[in-house]
Amino acid sequence: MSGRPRQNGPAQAKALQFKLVLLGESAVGKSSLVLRFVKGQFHEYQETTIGAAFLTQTVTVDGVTVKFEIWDTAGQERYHSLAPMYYRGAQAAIIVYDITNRDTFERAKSWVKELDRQARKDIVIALAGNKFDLSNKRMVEVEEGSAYAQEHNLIFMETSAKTGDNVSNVFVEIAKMLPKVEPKPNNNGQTVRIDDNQEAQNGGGPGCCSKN
Amino acid sequence: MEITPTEYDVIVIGTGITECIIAAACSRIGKTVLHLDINRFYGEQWSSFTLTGLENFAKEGPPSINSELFSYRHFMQNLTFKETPSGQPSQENQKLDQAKHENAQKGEKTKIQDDSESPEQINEKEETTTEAIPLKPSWTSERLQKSKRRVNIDVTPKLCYSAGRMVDLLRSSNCSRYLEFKAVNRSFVHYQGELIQAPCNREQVFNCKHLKVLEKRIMMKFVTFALQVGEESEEFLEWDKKEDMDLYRSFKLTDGLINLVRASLVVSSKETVSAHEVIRSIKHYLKNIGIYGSMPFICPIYGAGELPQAFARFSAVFGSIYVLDIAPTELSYDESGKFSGVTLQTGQKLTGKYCVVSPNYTSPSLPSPTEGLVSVSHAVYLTASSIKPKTKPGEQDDVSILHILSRCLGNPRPVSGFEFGPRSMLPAEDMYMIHLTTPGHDPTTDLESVVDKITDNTAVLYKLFFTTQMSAEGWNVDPVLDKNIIRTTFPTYCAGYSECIEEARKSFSLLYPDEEFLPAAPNPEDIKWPDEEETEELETQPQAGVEATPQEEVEEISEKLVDDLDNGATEGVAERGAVAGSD
Amino acid sequence: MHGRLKVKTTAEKEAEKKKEREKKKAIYQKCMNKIRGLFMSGDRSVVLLNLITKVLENIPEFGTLWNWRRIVLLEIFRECVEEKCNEDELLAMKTTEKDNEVDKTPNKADMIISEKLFVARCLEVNPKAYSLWSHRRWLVEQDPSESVIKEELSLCNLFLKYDERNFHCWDYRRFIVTLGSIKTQSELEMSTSLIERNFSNYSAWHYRTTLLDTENMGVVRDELEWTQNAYFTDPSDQSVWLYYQWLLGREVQGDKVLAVYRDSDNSTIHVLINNLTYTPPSQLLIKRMSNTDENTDENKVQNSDDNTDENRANTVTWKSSTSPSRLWSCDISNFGGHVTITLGDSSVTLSDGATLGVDKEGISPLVKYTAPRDLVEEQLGNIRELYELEPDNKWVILTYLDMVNTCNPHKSKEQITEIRNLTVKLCHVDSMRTGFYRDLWTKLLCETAVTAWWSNTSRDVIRSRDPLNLSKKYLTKLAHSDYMFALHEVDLSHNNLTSLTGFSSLVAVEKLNLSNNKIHSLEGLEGCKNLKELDASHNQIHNACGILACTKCRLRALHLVGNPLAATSVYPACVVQSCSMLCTLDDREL
Repeated sequence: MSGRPRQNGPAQAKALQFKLVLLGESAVGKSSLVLRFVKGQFHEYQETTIGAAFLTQTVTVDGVTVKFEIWDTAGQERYHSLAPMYYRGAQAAIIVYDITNRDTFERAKSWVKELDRQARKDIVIALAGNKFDLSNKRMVEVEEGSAYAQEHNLIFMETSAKTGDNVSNVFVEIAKMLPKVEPKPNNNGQTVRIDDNQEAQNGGGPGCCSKN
Repeated sequence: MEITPTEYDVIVIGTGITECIIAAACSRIGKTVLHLDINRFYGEQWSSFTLTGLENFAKEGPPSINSELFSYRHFMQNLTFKETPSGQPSQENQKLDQAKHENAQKGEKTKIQDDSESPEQINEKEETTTEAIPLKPSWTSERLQKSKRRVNIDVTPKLCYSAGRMVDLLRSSNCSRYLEFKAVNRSFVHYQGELIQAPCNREQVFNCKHLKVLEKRIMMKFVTFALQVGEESEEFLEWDKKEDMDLYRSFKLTDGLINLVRASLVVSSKETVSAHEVIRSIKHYLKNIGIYGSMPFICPIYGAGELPQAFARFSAVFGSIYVLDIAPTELSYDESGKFSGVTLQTGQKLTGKYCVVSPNYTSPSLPSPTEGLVSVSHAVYLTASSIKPKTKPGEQDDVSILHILSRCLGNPRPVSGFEFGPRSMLPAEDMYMIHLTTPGHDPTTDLESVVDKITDNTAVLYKLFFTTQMSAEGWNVDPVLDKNIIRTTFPTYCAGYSECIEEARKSFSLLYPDEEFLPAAPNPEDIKWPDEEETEELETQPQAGVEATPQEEVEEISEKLVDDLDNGATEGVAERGAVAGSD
Repeated sequence: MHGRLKVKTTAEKEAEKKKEREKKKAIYQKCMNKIRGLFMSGDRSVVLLNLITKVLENIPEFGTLWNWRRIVLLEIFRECVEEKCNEDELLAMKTTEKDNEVDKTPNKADMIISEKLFVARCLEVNPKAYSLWSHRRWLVEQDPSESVIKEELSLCNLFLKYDERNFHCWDYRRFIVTLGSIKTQSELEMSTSLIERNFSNYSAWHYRTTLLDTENMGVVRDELEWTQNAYFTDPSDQSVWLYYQWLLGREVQGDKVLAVYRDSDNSTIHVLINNLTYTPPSQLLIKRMSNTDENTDENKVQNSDDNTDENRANTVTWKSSTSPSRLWSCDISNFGGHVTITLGDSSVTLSDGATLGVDKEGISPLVKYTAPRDLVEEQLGNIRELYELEPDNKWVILTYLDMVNTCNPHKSKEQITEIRNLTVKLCHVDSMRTGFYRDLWTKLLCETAVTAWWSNTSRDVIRSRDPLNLSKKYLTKLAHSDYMFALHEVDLSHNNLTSLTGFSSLVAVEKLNLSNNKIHSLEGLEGCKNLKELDASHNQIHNACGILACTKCRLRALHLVGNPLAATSVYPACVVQSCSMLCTLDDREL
């Protein structure tokens, strides 16, 4: 159970929050995809933005608001040094490849395997063939990506961060697949999150000794 | 594989927690950092291995640097997978199969036994086992094999004090957002021949069945004194240079209470503890209670190895370049004898102004530290159930501290460690993990008989032994910047992380004395994007594709409201006022 | 090198926040207008419901909207039922998608489930909003099945875990427990587990008091042992002590007549009963037997048969000077002979010519513990042990003091000294409540003194003439004055009395010494009709108003020396004027 606001005044009902990670070879457009989704921006020569630990964006599906905490690789995939911590506990992942580069598709497949081995069993995975705007230089056919996705039970879409095509759809589709579960009493996964505005957690009691 | 760029402010070799914190601090203030590790994983002796990873690692052997000028010594020694007398990990399947086979034949055997035990013992134990803990769902060799990937074994098991340096640093730097923790729920000590829940806080003292009411009062009086006494007060100073026993006796603690207090509240690996240390330790312990639960500790889920990874990610987010599975073959120096760069195994030369090196790497001019070290024996057991199954529905068994004092169970030195439940994500599902340590060189001799005794109520699925090198508690040497190189040290043999954080902080101030150490990373909402204003109208665009419904007027408005109202917290007062007025 | 990170300044953040706020405010107002419009026009659609959801998500404590929501929901529920009956209507309701009608029909059960989820989500944000809990109540009432009750109990567990003193949740729990006829035992276990988590929990201890079977001494014994663990662990915790006191219990007796006093002029009868009542007990009857037929019990039987006396008795009017009161008086027009006062099964007889009739079982204002004597003695032992360990803990002292007092209605000198020392200690360790402890001492001492006086009087009615000496006892007031109604002489000199509250009960008093107190006024003596001698010297009476009360008394001797009034010019003229029957003032003959 992470910090529960304990205010007296009115406050907004908590949105359901999910950790979503991006995976894929360098330069397939992971960051561009996020930036298009979160900020509606696109830059031809996008570089990883320094200091952005993650970005957040909300999506509403079926009347339920879902907040994504989107983790970018921070360049750690470049020399194959992405830490397992990165996809630990992730409820959703978008594995991105570049439709104009076959190697990136193969790498995407190996990420699917890696997640299968290491990530949560209920993780929702989307496979995104990016750079749809460059489909004239396509090296991976839609059918191929789609077939692979179907076989591994993944959401599949070809996207373009440049034009914005399908970008939000990927996130919406993921949101639809995520469990909209309410807090349950004595839920199994009570964990602690260290947060600045977090007061003492429940279960504490008033410590060992009385203060008087 | 060419690494770009080739020039750096700091080159960090080794990804232990100290090195990762230093790397994070340097990149946070805009320095360019290259961070290398010879291993294919983060953390070195601060890492957590999957059991599969560890088995593979044992097969392949530790990495080495083919160079006379720079070498690597691995951080785990005497690795033993103890399942059969021959100690072959590969035969363990066979043994499990055999057990399963026998199970099917006899229809009664539910426990995998250590082969060294006599048949009588086996039968005796089995009876109690089947009665006490029904194994659900029973473990098979296939299941164990499949679960090995989901078992995370800490090389250096440690806890974070709830109000300790690590938590402070994670909070102040905002690095905490990468991590999730479990609160430690229980603490067991060996008391009058059995492992009992140590009364560590007021409620546990109240609930403790092993103490008489009078003892409860005495214990509470003592710990209240320790909590409240000021370190300048006369009551405190009068205990200067006195022994812990004098203190205990003066508060009329019974022998049993002294054992309990020593084992549970006085967190120390040292053999003798002074009266002042006892008071300070209890004070510290109690001040950390009630922040994240009834015990003063938390630990990261998936293991302590998450911590170096979190700081590495923080560092990467601020631009550090991370390369694993690579090591320098040589450190180069400029004409003044100062560090100037490294040559990698690939032959590539990179330049750097400063270098930070973990203690596992040595060169003729950078010998391994020798003083203040202690060899620590580890035993890791995977079991089918907790050694202390929950007795109440509300009880949580995610992480338990185990403490066995010297003289108990015939072991010469205090043995301490943890039991991790499945929800800590260290062991796999339906599995518990015991990790005990004691100072020593021969882990099997040091620990096996002790751990066997405390696990005789549960089915042991796997045993693992190893040793690591650690710094003795209290042996804190300030880091030095020599030839522009900082050499970090081994983990300290004690509970928390304050030593390595202090080391990282001091190291950083040697490199950049005027800079702030790990200021907070900005919140994602506060980051200023290049052309935010122009693109504002696009903000709601992502939701545009949601649900194509008949575009009635009402629905349209409601949809928009839905979106807009969700974009941030309500500012209550004004709106509430409006509500009140409208009624 | 790539772009450095830019962070918004505080001012920028503020501006952004303000803009957002303005925007949201506008949207909110638009939204509320829409909701109001739709609702007033009779719209009861899912669309309206969703709009309401959005506002409530932001302002979960908006009561009116929850009311509207229920109205809309009820309508939708009703439609659910109707739709099932009427397929045509169902088809008409559908616009385009007719593929899977069955799935699309809003199902009442599903709607209740999602409604509950919504409430739970809002509760997470504000667990103390009345409207949320009452909405949840309403939802549960729609379908209070066993599984629902179970779910609701675990919801309560969760919210009591967040905040163990959330009274909304406690209320809700009681509602669910009643609704689902939950077994007492499971609720006791729940309270136990809460206490085990943190025993400074008044709510959980209190909940036990509503559940525990105190008739079963085994249960009480176990509870006492359990609480012992708590107060030995932390003797400073008040909640445990309160529960502990509750466990020991206080005896509640049925109404009973204790004593009857006949005024010297035989005009009034005063009756002391054991319980305080606001109105005279209807069973309080007075029976008179003439001198001639006093000899046998048979007459009484006859009397009760023919009922004439009873009838006459019922016409008597009982009066009291305070409310509530233990002391009830009635005027009698000079009827002599035996008088019997009955109340329920109890009766006290006043013989012909006697002024006082007393219940033989003894009279004391002290209320005993309900726990059996051996158990209490054992507890006293435990508390004494703790007191020796914690001689400075106020709760320990207070409990010990109470037990020493309650266990010994008839106290030795040593016991009184011990009580005195304990109260002095309490004043030291808890100086903020000195006044409270002084009052406590006053109460205990008066209790003891009165008990002793009645004990003597019961043995020998002659001793009712014995004076009650409460001189130099540090009293702050006259406590248990109703039990003193038959006293003739009371010495309260050298105390700390400031007023004469309660003195109106001293209906028989003839001689009263109030010298050397801090009394400002003699107000309160009006009821002391028999008062003949009053020593009020060395007090704080400043003016003539202070002695007005004496005009109602038949004072013969009065002492007022040492009061500021005695130094004024109107003195003694004003006194002589007020008290017509006065013979001596300050020992001087008038």
